[in-house]
Amino acid sequence: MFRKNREVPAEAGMEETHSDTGSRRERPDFGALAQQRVEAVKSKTESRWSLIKKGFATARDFVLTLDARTAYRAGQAKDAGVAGAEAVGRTAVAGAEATAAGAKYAGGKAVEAGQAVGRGARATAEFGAGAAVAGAEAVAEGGKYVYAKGQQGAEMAMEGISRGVEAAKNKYTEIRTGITERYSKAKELALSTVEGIQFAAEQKKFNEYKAQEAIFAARAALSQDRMAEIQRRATERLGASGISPEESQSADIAA
Amino acid sequence: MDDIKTQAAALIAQAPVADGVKQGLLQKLQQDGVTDDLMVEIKVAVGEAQAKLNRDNKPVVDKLNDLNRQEQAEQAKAYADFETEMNELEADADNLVKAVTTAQNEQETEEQRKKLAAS
Repeated sequence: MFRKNREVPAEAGMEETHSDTGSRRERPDFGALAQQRVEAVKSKTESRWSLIKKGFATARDFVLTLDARTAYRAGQAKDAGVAGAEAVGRTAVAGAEATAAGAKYAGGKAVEAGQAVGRGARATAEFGAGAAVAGAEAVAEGGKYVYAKGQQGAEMAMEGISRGVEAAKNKYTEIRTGITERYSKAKELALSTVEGIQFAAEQKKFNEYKAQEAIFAARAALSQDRMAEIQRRATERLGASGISPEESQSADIAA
Repeated sequence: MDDIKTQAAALIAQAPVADGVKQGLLQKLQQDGVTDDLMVEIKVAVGEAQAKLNRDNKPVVDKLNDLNRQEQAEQAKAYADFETEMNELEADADNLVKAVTTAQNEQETEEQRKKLAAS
């Protein structure tokens, strides 16, 4: 019932012009925003990388020092294929071996991720020993953390950051889809009662009408400004009859 | 123009409003044509019908609106977390560039110093 309704073209428009009163209830397009953000970071990262790559012609065997978090990000890329809290624990251990700082930051992340997925104990336990050692070593470095040497280290670190961008994007897409699906099911359930089914059938007529109205406005060359003024006048009239904009809004039956 | 009038009549026929209301709107269309006043009347009629539908189904509508609000809040929170992560990654890239540049400069300076000392 609900999924069928989602296919009605009018409902796509419903997300933009959402009511008979013209009050707009626009939903941010988080998917598009995320994509733009990822592209911006990627492009920035690439241009930064091409800048520092030039320096490799004259200086290849330098000692690269990074702060804890950056080192962790780079270390994380090594175990990108392993899933779950155990992976975070392993990343931490791997980080401890490769870099004191990476391990130190990963420790916090291991606990954080472990708590989030309910598998904290194992991740923390696996990480514990490495963290203690790493912490001591990091202090010895006087707050500066040796991550890797030379061009290869820099390339690894940048690769880690690039993978981090991809991983963040994928993780966010998964979360976003999960939320949409969960609420889609909840709305489907809300519309599965006798009252819900009847309401959805009626609402569908309104949505279909609204789509036709938009098509008519375009064919009749009613400009957006003119339609906005018509809407404003209608809202005023409805208000005078005691109907608030919220009351005359159609409920979102699409996820 | 007649074509637009015909289309307006079809639109009114499709409007989810009572038959009596439709008749009134069609009469106005025949008298005055497609005017802004007519469009306002149509919107008011549909708005009233939508409000009635919502009132008659208040529990369902409230539930759907609540779910939409909760969903939007969760989506906004998820995006904010993603933004934070992207900001951190951007900062990491900055830190890396600074670290590499500093290291390269230091190495070059050191090599220059060695050359000068040897000459």
